[in-house]
Amino acid sequence: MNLRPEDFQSVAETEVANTAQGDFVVMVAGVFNYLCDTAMTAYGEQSAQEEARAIGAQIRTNSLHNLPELLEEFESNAVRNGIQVLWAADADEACKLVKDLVEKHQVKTITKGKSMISEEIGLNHFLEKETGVKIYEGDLGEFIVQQRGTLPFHIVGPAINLNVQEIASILQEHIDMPYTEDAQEIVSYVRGYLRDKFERADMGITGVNQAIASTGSLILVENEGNIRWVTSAPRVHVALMSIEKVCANYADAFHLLGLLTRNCTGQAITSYVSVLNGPRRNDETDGPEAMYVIIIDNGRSAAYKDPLLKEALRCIRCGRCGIQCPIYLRIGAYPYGWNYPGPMGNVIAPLIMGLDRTRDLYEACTLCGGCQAVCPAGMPHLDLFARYRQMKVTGNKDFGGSRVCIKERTGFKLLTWGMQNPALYKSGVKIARRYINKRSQDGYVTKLSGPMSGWFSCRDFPQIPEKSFRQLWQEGLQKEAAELASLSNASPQAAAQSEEG
Amino acid sequence: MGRAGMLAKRSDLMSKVSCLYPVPLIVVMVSVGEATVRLLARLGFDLQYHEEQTCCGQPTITAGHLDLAKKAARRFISIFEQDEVIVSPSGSCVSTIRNEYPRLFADEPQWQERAQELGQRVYELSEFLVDVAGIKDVDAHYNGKLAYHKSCHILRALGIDRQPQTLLENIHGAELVPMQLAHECCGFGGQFSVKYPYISEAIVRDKVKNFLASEADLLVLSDPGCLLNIRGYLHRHHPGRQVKHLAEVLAGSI
Repeated sequence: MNLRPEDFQSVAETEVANTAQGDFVVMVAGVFNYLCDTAMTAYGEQSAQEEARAIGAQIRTNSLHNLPELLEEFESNAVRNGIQVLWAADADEACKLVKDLVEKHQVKTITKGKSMISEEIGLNHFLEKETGVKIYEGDLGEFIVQQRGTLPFHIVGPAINLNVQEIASILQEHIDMPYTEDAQEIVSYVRGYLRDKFERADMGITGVNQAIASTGSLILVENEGNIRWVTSAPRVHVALMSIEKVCANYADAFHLLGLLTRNCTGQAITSYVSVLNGPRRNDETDGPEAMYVIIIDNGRSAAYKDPLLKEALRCIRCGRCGIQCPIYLRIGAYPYGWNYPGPMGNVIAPLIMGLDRTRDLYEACTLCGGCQAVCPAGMPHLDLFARYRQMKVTGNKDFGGSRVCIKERTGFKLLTWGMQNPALYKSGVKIARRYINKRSQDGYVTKLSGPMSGWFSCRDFPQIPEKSFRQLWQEGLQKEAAELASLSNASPQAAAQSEEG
Repeated sequence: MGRAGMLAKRSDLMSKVSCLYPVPLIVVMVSVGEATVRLLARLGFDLQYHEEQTCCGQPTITAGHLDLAKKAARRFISIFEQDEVIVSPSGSCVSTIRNEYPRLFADEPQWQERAQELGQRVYELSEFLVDVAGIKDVDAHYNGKLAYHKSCHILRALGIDRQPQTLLENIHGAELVPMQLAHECCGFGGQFSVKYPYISEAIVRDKVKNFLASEADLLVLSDPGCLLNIRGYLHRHHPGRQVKHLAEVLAGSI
């Protein structure tokens, strides 16, 4: 399935028609929102939770403020730990670096921990095409999605949209699993299937949840043990991280992880937390012989130069915004055409893929602010979406935005002209009234052609009253209001009070 | 007498209350404007209405045409800035003036200051009644169950939640019942509803589903955008069911 954000409208229209999926996702989101809310009570009352989020936001502010220095500090400490640090300017360069490592270490089989950045750079596809190496996703949901050949539906629940029958059929088709609808049996079968791959993989590839500058360590969280396998059994471990994943020290990192897991799966902490401090040492029996970290920019430093766009790098990838987003919950992940669905994608995709290609991402938004209200990293979603819309209007070469079309611009110019000239405004209303009311029946219009037609796909529109509010005001409402007010004020008690005053 | 005392105090506080109406919608829903006037007048407020007011420019800001929005905003500020208190039955207009205007003039300090000063005196109706005037009971009557939809701009952009619910709880004969996902968007979003009608439909369908499941007789909300959207959907799919603006319910015009 080759999805692109340009196809948002057509994919969204198909997905939204799948009301069974929509209802299911809304229901699951309700459960997760409840779990996350409950997990957040560990910080205390509402005000204490706000404070915990504010501290998270401050940590991200500090990390971003000192990003170049923190990355250099991380690099020097990681190198001291025996980790080799590589830098990639874009997706292509990052993929090629991994390919070089595959060849250098004569890798035949790769196992992976679920990594969003590897999806972002299209690593699986690139490696399979360029090297012929076999790649196995280690996270169950991601493994199912990999077999199905689709994008993950949610960053932490990649297969959350599939029911057990669909999952059973996919696994039956792709890995010869005997068909069963028993979830336990499915898990056992996949575990057995993957165990063998984990044991003989030459290379493990993961993302990074937080990189610690002061010690040169990597922290990864997970629930299934696949990351533990992938980072300790193969000869080579390659960790991919985007530039914003670094923070100053452990205290900062663990506060962020506490917020991450609580807002992601509603857990106080995940089943596994791996803190990696380098490859196997001489006196150790476990761990990879070689360990690499690839630090990927992929368009981020261009955003970093702008004080507002830089804010888009706050995200810690918990996904809480998604389960609050009325749009994402109804259309799912596929219309976003990339691996970051929902508000998370609306924030980052325009900066990396360009404003023109991603126009529907930042426009298919009611600006309800649900995402911003729950974000534990202080992301100013609404300011960013407003900025993208404004950049689209004026055009922005740095971020792939051509100017807005003349038709839309003219429409808003006319509207503004009307706003400045009450007489013009009044005649505009008159024309609209005549047009709409001529087409209405029993007080409502049920259909109009032209630019407003979308409204009528599910809604009616009330007739415009013959007298405007202004007319009513002039013709008696003003007088009536004055009389009503004076009746109230003229009460003896009020008079007595005001005399005293 | 508490009530009369309050009224007197009120007239000390503010001699004249200016009404700010969301023009594009008030054109359609004149009844919301009338209800707001009757409610405030009945409570003893002296009202004025600037007949030259048009639109605050919210749709222009939302669409990203900030240069045009500035023109509308300058005119708007000039019209209203002499008023002591400005009240609007539209949370999204209040949010535009209070939150967006100062940002719009980030590079024009003089206009920014004027915008900020105006923003401090613009109130959403329920916020004005409860927080400024100290009125929690407007002596309204309704026999039945009410559900309350928490409009995005009122709940999240302005942080107003308790005030409208307090006013509803104190309506004589009425019972405010809980509604699932009352805080979720109704799917209006201005241009969004026309540009992405199928997504908008899926969202408003769920909003109405939750309203019906609440078994309330009436859905109440405080933002004309949501009102237009939900009313239009109800009229098409559930013609017997009603949604009203808070002002209409409090004014007793239902």
